Amino acid sequence: MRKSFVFLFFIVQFQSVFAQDKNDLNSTLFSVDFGSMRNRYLYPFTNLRCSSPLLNKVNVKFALRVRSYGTLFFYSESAYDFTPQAEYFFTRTHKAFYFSAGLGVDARLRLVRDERGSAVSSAEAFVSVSAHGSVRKIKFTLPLWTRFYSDGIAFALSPELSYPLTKNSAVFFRQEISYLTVYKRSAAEWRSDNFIGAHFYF
Amino acid sequence: MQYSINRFVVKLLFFVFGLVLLSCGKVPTSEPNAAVESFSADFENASLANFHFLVPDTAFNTTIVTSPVRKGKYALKNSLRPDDFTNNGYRAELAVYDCAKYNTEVYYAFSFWIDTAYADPAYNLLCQWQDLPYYIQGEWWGPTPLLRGSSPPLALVYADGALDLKMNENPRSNQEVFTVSSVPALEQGKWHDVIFHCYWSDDNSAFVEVKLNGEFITPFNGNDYKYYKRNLFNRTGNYFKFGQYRGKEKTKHTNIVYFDELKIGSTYNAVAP
Repeated sequence: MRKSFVFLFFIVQFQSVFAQDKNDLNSTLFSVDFGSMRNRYLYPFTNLRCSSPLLNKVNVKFALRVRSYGTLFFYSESAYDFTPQAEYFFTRTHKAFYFSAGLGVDARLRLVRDERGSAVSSAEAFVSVSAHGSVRKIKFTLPLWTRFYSDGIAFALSPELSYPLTKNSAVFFRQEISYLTVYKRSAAEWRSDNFIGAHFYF
Repeated sequence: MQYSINRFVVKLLFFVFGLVLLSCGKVPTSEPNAAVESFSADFENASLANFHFLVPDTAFNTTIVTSPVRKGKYALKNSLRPDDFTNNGYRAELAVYDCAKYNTEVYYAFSFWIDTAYADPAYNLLCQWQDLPYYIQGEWWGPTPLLRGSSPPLALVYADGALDLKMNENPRSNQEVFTVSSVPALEQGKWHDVIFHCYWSDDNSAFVEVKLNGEFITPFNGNDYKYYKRNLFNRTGNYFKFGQYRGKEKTKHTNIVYFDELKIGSTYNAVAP
C-alpha cells in the first residue's frame, strides 16, 4: 500500500511541475522496471536506469542502468550489472522515426560464492544501434546490443512499447531476446526475459 | 571538415578498441561437452572426505560398517531418525558436485540395501539429481519472491515397499512429478545394484536409462531403454545426492539404508559393480 502511495506521489508530483512535453531527447529520463519470464521459469529482476538529455553541442546523451538479480526490491545479495552507455542520436528533435547508436560497458558483479557454480565478476564492451518511433500515443524503441566477450559474442534485441500515463510519465513493456554464443565450441543459447515498468521524465 | 571527421573516426576506433580490451569476461552460458570427472567411493578407506554433507549428525547418520557389505570390507550405513532435519528438510544425504554438467553423458552406479526393519511407507529419495540456480546469469537460491523451488528433475524414490524412478519437468512446481518406471515390491535385506546412464540437457534430447540388478527398468521405446525427457532446468547442470531425503514428511521410525560401490564415470564398464 505504501509503495502504491509513493508511486502515485511520483506521478502527480512530476505531472504538475512540468508544463512542457517531455521526451527521451530533451529530458532526464528515469526508468524503473520489474519482472522476468525466463525461458523456462520465472526469475525476478529489477532495473533502474537514468539517462541525461541531449548535450547542448552534440547529439549525445549518457545513461546508466543498474540491474539487480533475484529480487523485485532492488537490493540483491546475488548479482548486479552496472551498464554505463553513451549514445549518439541522429536527430535533435523528436520525430516519428529516428535512429541512435551507442557504446557502453556492461560490468557484471557476481556476489554468490558457491562451489557448484562458476560465476565471476567481469566487464564487457557493447555497441548498440536503436530505432525509435511513435505511432499516435504509443512509442517504441528497438535497440540491438552486441556484447563482446573474451570467448564469444552476444546479441540482445529489446523491443519496448511505452504508453504515456501523464505528460511526464509512461508505462512500458519490454522483451529482451538474447542470443549468446561461444566462438570455439559453437555453443549457443537463446534467452528471453520480459519486463514491465515506468518512465519518468524530468 | 574532412580532417575533423577523420580525427573523429580515429578517436572512435581507439575507443572501440579500448572497449573490446575491457571485455575480460566469458560469455555467460555453460559450455557443452565438458569432460566427465570420475568419482569412486567404495568406503574401503573408511573415509567420507570426498563428499559434501547434508547430514544433521555425521556420528549417527553416516557411519562406516563392516556388515553388510557389497564388496570389500566396508559399506556406508545411512540412518535417518524422525527428527533429523537439516537444510530445509528431513534428510541425511551425501553430495557429489560437478558430475551432471550440461550436454554430458554420464554413468552412475551404486549398490543399496534396505534394512529389514525399514517400516515407514512415506516417500524417501535414495538418490536425486538436484537442479542449481543459473549462477553465471546472476541467479541464486533465494530470490525474492521465491518463484521456484521444486522437486528434483530426476530421483530414485523408495515408497511403500516400491522403488520408483521419478522425474519433474516443471521447475515451478512440485505437483507435476511423474513416474518413469516402478519396481512394485523391492526385496528388503539384500543388495540391489543400480546403474544410471544419463545424458544431461535442457531440451528433450536428454535421456535416462536405468538398470536394476542387471535388468532395465526404464520402458522400452522401440529401439532401446532410453527415456527421453529434459532433465536440466538450466545449463548450470545438476548435482548428485544419495542417502535418505523425506522433504517435509516426518516419519515415525528410524530408517536405515546401506550403500556401497558408488561410482561415477563416462562408460558403463567404469562404474559396473
